[in-house]
Amino acid sequence: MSMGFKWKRGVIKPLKKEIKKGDVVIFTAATYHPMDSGFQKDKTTNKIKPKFFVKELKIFFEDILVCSFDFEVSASPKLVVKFPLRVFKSGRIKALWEDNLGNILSKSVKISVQN
Amino acid sequence: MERRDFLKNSSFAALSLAGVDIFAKNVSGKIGFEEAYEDAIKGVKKIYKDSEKIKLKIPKEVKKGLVVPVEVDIDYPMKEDRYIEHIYILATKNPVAKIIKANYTFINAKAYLFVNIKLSETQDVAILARSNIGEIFEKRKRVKVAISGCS
Repeated sequence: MSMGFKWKRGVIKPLKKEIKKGDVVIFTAATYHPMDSGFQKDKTTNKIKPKFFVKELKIFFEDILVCSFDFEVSASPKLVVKFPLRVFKSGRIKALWEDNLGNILSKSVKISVQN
Repeated sequence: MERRDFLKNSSFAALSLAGVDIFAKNVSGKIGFEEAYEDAIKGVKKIYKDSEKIKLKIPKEVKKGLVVPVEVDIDYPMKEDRYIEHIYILATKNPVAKIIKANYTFINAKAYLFVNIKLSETQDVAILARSNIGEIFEKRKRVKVAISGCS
């Protein structure tokens, strides 16, 4: 599964469009990943598929780490995470996912804050 | 001499069996609920079970356990000196009980988390919210699962 895996689909976005200085904003960070638990059999080869899962998501605001999430194989392949952040200024928010094989996916969005 | 041989052989057998067990545990990749729970509460001062500070939104029953939405909102200050620094979501019967650990600071300003999880069978989902001053707030809810999300 991991051999031909191309990790492209991902997004990070705020749940509201108009953001004022000091607002607590909920962001969505979402991606798709096989999230193979290491217990399932491949239907074609009948062999156990090795563990293949997203192990970490890091969130940066203007390149400063603001929060992170550690996963195990029991997180869903439709990996949607929503988290809060108080925002004081405009800037770029970045999500960086890393799986257990070292594959990395990065997505970012620029947010504008009204004073 | 025979007795010595017997003891030597039985000790070896016992060690081998123990070795096999440890090996099996290490290679299985499973993380039981007790192990995950102990890891989450390590070093805490107080545990508040069935805490009303935690609002947990999760379906009572799902057809497929592959995508189960979990929403957690914790009523806690999130100030510089006092905030929720970790939110754990554990499942009591999944082969890997640990699902997610969220790492927050006061700048997140709200102890909130939404995530999709997998459930292998009908079981409890446990939320543990750990503050930076060593408190744990805990809440559990049972989810009925018709088709496993882990097979």
